[in-house]
Amino acid sequence: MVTHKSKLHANTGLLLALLIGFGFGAFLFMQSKSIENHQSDLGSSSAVESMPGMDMDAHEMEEAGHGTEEETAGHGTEESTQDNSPVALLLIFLGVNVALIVTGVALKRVRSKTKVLPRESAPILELEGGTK
Amino acid sequence: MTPVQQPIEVKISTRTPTQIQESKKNLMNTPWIARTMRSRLFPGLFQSILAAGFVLIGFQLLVGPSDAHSNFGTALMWVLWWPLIPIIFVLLGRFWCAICPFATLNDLVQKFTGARMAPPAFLKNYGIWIIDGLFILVTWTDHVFGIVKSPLGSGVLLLLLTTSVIASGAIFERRAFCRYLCPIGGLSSNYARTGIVTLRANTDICLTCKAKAVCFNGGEIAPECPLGQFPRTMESGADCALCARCIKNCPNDAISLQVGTPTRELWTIRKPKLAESFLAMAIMGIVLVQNLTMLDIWQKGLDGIENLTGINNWTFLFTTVFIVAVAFPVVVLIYAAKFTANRFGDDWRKWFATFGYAMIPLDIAGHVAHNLFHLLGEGKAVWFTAMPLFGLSADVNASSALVSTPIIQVLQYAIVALGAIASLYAVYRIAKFNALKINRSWKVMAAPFLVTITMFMVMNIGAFSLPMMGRM
Repeated sequence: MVTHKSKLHANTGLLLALLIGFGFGAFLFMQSKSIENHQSDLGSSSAVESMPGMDMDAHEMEEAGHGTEEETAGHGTEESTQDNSPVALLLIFLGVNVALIVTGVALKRVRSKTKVLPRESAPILELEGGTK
Repeated sequence: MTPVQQPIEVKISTRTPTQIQESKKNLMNTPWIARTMRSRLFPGLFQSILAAGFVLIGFQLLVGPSDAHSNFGTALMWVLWWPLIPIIFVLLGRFWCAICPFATLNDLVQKFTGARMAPPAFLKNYGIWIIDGLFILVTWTDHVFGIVKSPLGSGVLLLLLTTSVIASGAIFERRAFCRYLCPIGGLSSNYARTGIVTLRANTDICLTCKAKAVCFNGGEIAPECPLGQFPRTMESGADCALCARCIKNCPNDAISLQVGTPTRELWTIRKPKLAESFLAMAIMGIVLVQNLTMLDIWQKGLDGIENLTGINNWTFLFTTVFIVAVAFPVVVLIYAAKFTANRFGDDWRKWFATFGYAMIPLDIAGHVAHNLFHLLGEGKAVWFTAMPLFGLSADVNASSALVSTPIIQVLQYAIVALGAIASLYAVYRIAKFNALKINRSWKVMAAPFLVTITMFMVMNIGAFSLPMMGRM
């Protein structure tokens, strides 16, 4: 039986879950900003070993028997790690997704407290001898 | 006096469902395949391996080298996975969707949250159009923002997909994202119609089944059908992922895996959909754009337009060319459909939807041929970019091509020709079926579509005959 009270509880739960989820996302976002600032203060940048053939110009590449441009894939010019720190991106991603999962859980609670129709019903089987 | 028209009998099959199930073409009669499909490890084992692979790709894209040439994630995603995926669709239908890491994620999230709401009606009604739009948008975004050439861009694309899947899994039932929103799902659903392996139920047995649609709703052995299909009434492989849940759940062993004629489904579709035919033509346009932007003449053409119009905004110029290129095949098919509508009656939309499916084999051929260049012309990039991860260094003089350009071109021509033949045959079958119903000539009905296919085949072959630039 769906009552006004259970609906109210469910909706309050949903709202609370959304607030917590998005609040958590915002918190992570702020954290990521401070990590970024810290990284830029340190001025850290990591260098990775260079790939073969990276310091060759087009003429040298041709001389080395690399042929046409399309046949020289895999030989970059200079290898470096991502310029933009993915930490911020990942934290935002994490926050948003935690919020979504919390929303899902809240919705589940709403649905368990309210009377809902059965899930997408199976095709009606009305042929002779069939099951209902 | 008007002659009395005799009803035309359409001979589909004289075999009973039981005979079909017992035939050699049913892969479930092969013991090891049957054991595999019923195994608890299927498709979980494949899902786990691919999920691990995608975590590695994501990690490399986000924290690996910023240069696409050196990024292992970029090589795995765009040189290996993306070129292989249309080939999987042709051979195994929508099987990729059964083992897709995003589908695995959807199921995991659903297990923990389980709100399991029915998708809204607009998603069910207009999902295909949303997929059409998303597919075009992703392609446009790739060119404008350089997703493929930027590991971070590719990483962001993966994160956005992951977020969409989590949202869908947390709220909706089954795999709503895969069925109604995923651009790759849309592509696979279109391409899967040409698939060789299809899942069917023995309706003779289903008529007497007392198991309350356990194949659809799920049971104790396996969960429900992820794409909401009911094997007993299923006529298409477009929305079947071959995940084998129904095979495991069926108490009567009534499900069979049939090996059939490739592309057969294209001329047996009972309710053709405009959006699905539109997607087929839009993909044709997208492949044309992809080919065009890899050619030398692309930059020359842009320079020419710039000189002519004085507009030097690359994004604007590209967007204009992109819209024209994507719209071109659609407009051509509209004209072909209107030609047929003028001569045979009915609305042109009906003919557009009916004959649009026949373009799918040529679509796939163009797509596979295009990606073959990346796979065979740049395949070694996967190895080259993996070597530094193990402290090895690549050979300076080594080329990333697996085979020479002329061999790739010959293969491309052969694939496009094969696709065109399959498309022409599909047009013949569709025209014959529809023309016979009204006692008219199938040749006149098929003519505009045969011309359309020939035109796009020539355009594809022309593009592949020119030197192309690589992705890596």
